[in-house]
Amino acid sequence: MSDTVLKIDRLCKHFPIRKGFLGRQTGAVKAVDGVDFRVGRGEIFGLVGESGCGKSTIGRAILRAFDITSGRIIYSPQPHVEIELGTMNEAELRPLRRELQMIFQDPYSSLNPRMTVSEIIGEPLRLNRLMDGAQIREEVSRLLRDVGLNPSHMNRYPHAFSGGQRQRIGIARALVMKPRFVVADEAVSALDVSVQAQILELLLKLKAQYSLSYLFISHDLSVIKYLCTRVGVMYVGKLVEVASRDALFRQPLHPYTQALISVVPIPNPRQRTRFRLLEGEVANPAAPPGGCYFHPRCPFAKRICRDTEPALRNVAAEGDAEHMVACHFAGEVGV
Amino acid sequence: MTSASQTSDNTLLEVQGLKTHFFLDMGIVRAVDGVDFRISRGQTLGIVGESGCGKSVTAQSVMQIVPSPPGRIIDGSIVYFGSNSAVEISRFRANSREMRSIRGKEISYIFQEPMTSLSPVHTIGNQLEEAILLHTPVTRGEARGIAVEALARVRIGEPERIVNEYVHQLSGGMRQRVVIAQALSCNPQLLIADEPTTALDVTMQAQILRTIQDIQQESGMGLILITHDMGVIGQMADEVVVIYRGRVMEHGDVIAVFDEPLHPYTKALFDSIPRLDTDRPLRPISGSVPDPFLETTGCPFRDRCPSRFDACDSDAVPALAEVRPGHSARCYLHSGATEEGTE
Repeated sequence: MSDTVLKIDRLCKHFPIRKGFLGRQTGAVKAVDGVDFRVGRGEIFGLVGESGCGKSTIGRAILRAFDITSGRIIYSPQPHVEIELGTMNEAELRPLRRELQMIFQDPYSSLNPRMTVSEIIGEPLRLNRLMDGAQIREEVSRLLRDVGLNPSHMNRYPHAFSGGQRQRIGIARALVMKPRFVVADEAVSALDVSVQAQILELLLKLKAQYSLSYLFISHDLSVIKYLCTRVGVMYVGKLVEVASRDALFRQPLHPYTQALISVVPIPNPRQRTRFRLLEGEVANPAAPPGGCYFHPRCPFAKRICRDTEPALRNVAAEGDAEHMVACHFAGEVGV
Repeated sequence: MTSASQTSDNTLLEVQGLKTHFFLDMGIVRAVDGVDFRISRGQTLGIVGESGCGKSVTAQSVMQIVPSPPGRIIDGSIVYFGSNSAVEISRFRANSREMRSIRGKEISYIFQEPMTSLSPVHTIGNQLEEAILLHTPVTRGEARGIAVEALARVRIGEPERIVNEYVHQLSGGMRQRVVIAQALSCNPQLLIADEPTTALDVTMQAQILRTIQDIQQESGMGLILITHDMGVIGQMADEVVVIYRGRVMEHGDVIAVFDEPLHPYTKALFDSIPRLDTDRPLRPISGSVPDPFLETTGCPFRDRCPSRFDACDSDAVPALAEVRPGHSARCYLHSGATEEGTE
């Protein structure tokens, strides 16, 4: 993949733990700890992992919702143009903010209940003085049609809409500034199954229509497999595996990825498996174990796994697409 | 109305014609509007449906914990076949002595969100002991022993330490285990689990489901598993009830329902879920679940149904008809029968 829209380089986000009256820092939660990946132009890159693994923190770091601890976030609006977002201050970021947008998980709390749909979607246009009132209304109508809502409902308030419809409003809001890159954080997780499929199809349609690239963050492997072109699996602030969707689901190489896939209940009563268990709990990101963070739960852990942290390395055969794994025994253990 | 004398076979609970409505200022919500099912000892019944379909209110009706007012069971019967006699639960008042002796002892309930059923200001041990002391003639010391055992049964490590801890000291998965331990502490005959793993990660979900399976195997309790997740149903249930807008749309053996779903709604649910085991394209269901206040006539699914035909224009609700032995559907495609009183 030669054309990259976003490149994350050794990204770290540590949240300080402060104690006592003087608020002295006594430690840090390493929410994201040295993550590298690239998102190709027009690609849907999926980030999957258990809650607390740092996947949402990465999404918010890219949008610079906070200052990052270290690393680089390189945004490339067009080929051969590279902009480093990680070190920018708020004033420098402002003109870029419209190009990187976010779709939120909860369509109930992410829309202001006191604003009409037209005000919610049109607000960025108004604040940036890009259009006058009539133009804004026209633009809002067009967006509502694009996301599958009736433009004549633009003067209604969010409470008048169902969860799926609200998510469509949230999507229209993200698209109004014509972004190039969209972070969708658990964008379909709160929806009913029948509506979830509608929104997934809508995201695919809009990607083509608006030439978007997505970072799609989800805990749901089935959704990730359906939507994404490449996938990164996270565990305790680090990527443990990155591969194309097909390679990852056909031949997962990290024991954690294998375990994660094996515990998804298959909707087929003729294929019942006793749930293969992943014992123990996710490691504490404030005090992770030594070596490979997954070793206390890994059924294949050996001495080296306790002592040495494995690097994320490419194990694909020459000529094949990249398949990165952070495991000392990648390809030798598991299924 | 079922006569309670039919203590046939292994039946544990029988629900017939259940209607639970909510009388609100804005109108009446017919949350449960004609639900029938039966569950045997040791069996797992899956109740599946989207949010607002009435699956939780069905379960709350069985436990007599429907918030009232505004909710009220207005029709139907719920018969529980206890160890030696059959009792009609639907006749008891929610706070009656009879109901309190069944709730938590014979029939237990697990909520989706563990914090709904746990107190933040009591230790785990105290909360477990409360239920044990209420239902069994034991001393406080013995109750502590039972509580520790109950925690060990749901595979909580170091139960002797955990009994002295508070809820905020535990992770989400541990909390849900405590809730299950609490529900199982009095060895219920029937466990109703309402989306027990929806708020959890898949790894934790697998541990919890496995724990429930193991306990069911060793104790032979019946399980009503309420979920929107077809995967969980596919792995756990013996029989499935599919609910839409307060009515059972399809009911049958899990293999029959998954192999050959009869109702277009069930088929549409299967077609709209992304899954790991196949690569077929999704076919979303058009529209969304209608406003609960909306009064409708005829088939509740017809406005979203891809198989709608002339007969569906009828104002009468199709009856739940047995299409094959043990496999029924509420759909004019399979039977022209209509539900009484809806014409």
